[in-house]
Amino acid sequence: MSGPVQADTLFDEGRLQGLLQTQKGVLVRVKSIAEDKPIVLEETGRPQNVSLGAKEVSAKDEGKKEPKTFLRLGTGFFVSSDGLILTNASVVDQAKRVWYEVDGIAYLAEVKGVDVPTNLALLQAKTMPKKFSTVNLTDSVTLPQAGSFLVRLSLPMDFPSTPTVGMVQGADTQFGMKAFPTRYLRVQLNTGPGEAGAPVFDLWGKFVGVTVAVLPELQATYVLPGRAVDWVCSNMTPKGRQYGYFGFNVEEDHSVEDSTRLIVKTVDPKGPAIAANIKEGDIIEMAGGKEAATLGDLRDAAFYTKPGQYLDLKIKRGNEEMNVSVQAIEKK
Amino acid sequence: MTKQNSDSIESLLKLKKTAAPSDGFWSECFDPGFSRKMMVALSRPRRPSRAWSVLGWGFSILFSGVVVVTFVVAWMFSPQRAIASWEKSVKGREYVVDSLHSSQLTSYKIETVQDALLGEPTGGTTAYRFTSGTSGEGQF
Repeated sequence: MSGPVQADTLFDEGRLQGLLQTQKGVLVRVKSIAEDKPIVLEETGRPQNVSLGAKEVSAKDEGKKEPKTFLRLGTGFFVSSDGLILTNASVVDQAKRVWYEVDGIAYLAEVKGVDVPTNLALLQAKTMPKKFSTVNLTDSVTLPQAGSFLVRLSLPMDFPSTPTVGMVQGADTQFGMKAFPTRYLRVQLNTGPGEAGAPVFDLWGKFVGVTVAVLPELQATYVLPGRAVDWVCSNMTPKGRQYGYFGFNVEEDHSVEDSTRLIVKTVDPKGPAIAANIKEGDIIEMAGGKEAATLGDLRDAAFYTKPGQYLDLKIKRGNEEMNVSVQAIEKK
Repeated sequence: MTKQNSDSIESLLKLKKTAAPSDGFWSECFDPGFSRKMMVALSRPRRPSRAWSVLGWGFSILFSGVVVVTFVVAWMFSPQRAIASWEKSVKGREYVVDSLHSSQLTSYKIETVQDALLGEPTGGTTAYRFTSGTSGEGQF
């Protein structure tokens, strides 16, 4: 028998519809007003230290453009019954005014914290609708395998709650030459205007993560996993999340056949690593109780270690193996 | 109390009874225009020297003023009015999309023109901001 694959052969439609009913009332349309300051590009074509949401202009156009006041719109969702709302940092970063809408009614909110590296922002609703639902961040699933189907709920443009189904394509720790702060899920979802900050669920309605960036060439979207979302939210401060600094540089060594290993390249003489007896040339085998063969593995372990906490490392120096604990300090 | 004084009081009471507005009050209650007549009567103190009428009117006016001011202030400072004024003050709407290649993506705005829904590129795309890390090496 040939022909198009019917939707009900892939999914239980009733389950999907049940998911939409369960998550009804979690979404809010986040709006903010910010000045649209132009980014001045360097000769390399890379933007300098600028805020999210800014426009890129070439150096010759600098000064010609006046800052414009823009209304930014994105998707957000309630994460607690006392009115905490999660969205993308780019929707509210450096905003003068922030509010949100539920069923067309506007409510005031204020920014509680913005974490630019993960593109997350936490808002506190100052006024709330009588009825709303929340997404339980602690109830998130572990990283879904490639091939798993996920459902995103979003508010594209001015449309109401819209579901989209996509498949997990992989989990990445970097994009080209640039690194993500932790492992992101790459999902076959084409994010459109206004869908920034949308929650993603599995087919059973469990929270999987938040969309953080789109990869238009592949029509894919990167999703920050639920564990990382919960970690960022629970450690959010008005200045954003505090990241730990350990004081060493690591290089991926590909000289070993069929595998990679991490070699400590330099150690900051004033950093915590030197106090923990880490030396140049040490090979890092495990970090945070998990095997660390790539920079992504080490980044993942470091991500979940906040200033003041210790990162347990298993290192190899010559023929000797040893366990060390490095205390993270606040990254400047 | 002297008799002269007593006579004087009695005559005064009689005078007062004659002038009292309660004479025939109930019988006049159902007359046409009673409410209007009563309001007119109340607005004109029988004795201009009586300060209570002035106070009564003053209080009513003051109370009404306070109510009006309360409603006006509540309206002026209501969140919905503030939010509506913020929305009107902006020059454009930007539906946020965070792209790893900002120059290759555009976002759109919707405008209702002559009952038509139009999409128009706004360039309202934001670039995902990488903060650290290069391929092959990482600082921790």
